[in-house]
Amino acid sequence: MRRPRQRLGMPNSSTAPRGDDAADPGHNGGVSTTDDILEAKRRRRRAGDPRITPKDREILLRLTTGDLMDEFQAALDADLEADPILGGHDTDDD
Amino acid sequence: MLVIDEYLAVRGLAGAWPSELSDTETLVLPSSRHFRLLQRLHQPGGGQLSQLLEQLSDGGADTIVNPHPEVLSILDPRPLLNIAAGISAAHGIGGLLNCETLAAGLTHGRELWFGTARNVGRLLTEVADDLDISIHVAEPDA
Repeated sequence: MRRPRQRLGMPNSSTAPRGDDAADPGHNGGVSTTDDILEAKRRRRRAGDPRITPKDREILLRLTTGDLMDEFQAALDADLEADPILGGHDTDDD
Repeated sequence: MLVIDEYLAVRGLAGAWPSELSDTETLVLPSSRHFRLLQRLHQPGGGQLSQLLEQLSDGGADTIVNPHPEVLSILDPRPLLNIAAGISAAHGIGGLLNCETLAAGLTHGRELWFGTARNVGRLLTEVADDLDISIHVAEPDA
């Protein structure tokens, strides 16, 4: 069993210093528009979690889009068969 | 909010955003599906799956344990449980996974998104249809 991990995180958006985002035109009176802020948020969302390394990314994509999808799905299905509360008594997650 | 499954959650965390998904919406994962992802870290399964998951960095594994809410949020199960129990009783389906997922879809936009059709299930499809919840599948690009 993996030991509990301490949370590592991206800076909280409410406490992150202003101006470190590409959407901010600068500190000298520049004010981000709502569109700029939303665009920056979309970019961060699409980029995924920055704690993921390139090797992690490769592993996770093999499970969910690549050659290990069958094994991954089999493990998910096994959870339902093993746990009647999760899967129900009449599991048919086929 | 877009209610998604384990596949799309992992793809989102890995920065492989499916083109079918709007990037203006927050991705949310029902807690029972988060539980299944966490089980992969603790009980990866056999063969290559186990070996590969052991190779995740601490930071990489932590993204699954504690996803950053800007990328992926885990739905609080408490407001959904009563709805899930009602769905279970009304439609004769058991299983927290299906019932909580349907309750989440009913509560958040009447849409459910899956990363592969194999992860949907026949009962869930039938009840979603009864409840007017649309099911979308964003399969990996070929």
